[in-house]
Amino acid sequence: MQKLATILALGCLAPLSAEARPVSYPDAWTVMLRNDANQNSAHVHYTFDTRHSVGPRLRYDRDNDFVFTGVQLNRLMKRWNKPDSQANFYGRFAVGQVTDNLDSAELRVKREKDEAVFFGVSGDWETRRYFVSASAEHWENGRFGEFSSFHSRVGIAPYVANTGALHTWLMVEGHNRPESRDKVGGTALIRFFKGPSLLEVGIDDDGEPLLNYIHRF
Amino acid sequence: MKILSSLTIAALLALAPAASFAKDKKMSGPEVVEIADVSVGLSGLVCDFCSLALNKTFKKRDEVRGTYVDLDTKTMSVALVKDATLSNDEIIKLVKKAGYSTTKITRKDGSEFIPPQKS
Repeated sequence: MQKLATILALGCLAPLSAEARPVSYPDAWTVMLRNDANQNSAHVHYTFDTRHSVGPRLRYDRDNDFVFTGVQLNRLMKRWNKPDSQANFYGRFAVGQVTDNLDSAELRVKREKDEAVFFGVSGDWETRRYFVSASAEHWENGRFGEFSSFHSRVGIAPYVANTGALHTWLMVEGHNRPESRDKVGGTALIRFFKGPSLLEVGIDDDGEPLLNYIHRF
Repeated sequence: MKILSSLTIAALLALAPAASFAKDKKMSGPEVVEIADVSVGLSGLVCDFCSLALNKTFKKRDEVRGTYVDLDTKTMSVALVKDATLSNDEIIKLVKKAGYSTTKITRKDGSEFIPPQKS
């Protein structure tokens, strides 16, 4: 409980995330894919009311070579609509199972499994020209250990595009993963946004690529 | 695992656009502005996901013939089917359901309604 309180508190202060906007409009489906040096993650969610979405989450931890499979609930805790901006604060929670990624047939070992829980908070503020976001996450992965991660992001649109046109953003993301080999780092990325699709391509300070994709249906 | 992830991404990228445009036979695009019965002023409008949310939410209503959200003017134009109406309260509720706020509703006859702003 103390850990959860810490995560929530850090989320208020710390960075905003690439997984911002995890709640869409009622009856909408969304696909969110994130691929970077730390993880390959897929989350498909269904927004069942103005404030909640739920759906499967699959996450491969590249640092520790295990896979999380579970269900994630997202809640829009607060939205601020202003004439020229919007800000959001989200909470996220997932439960599931973690499994090591060893090839049991080749290595002749039994795969290890355990229960896992994930808590996260994120927030964002954006205009049509500027973007700021932050997130804090905490994973309890049973025998695979616990870890936290904090992300922050700032972005600027070099031009302001109208509805249906290609929107382009130049962004920089910083991260702090206290339990990871790559504790602190940054990623430069370009976001392309058109209609229901959002694609992000980037490279981090170690030369590792980032490829994120979001699509709303 | 990397191969699986890559294949998943490739498949979704390929399939997603087709799926998103399916079944939406109502009008969209700037041409709706010319025939609109209602113009709705909005706040919180910053990106195409906002436009998408508003368009999809309004188009579920039988009364709505077409919609267009203009990010530059921060307005949504709504064309209604013949003899159909949407009250100010219904419009405000639909905008709220999509996640946004209504600043002004202007009808084709020139009448205006400005909702009281919550603090």
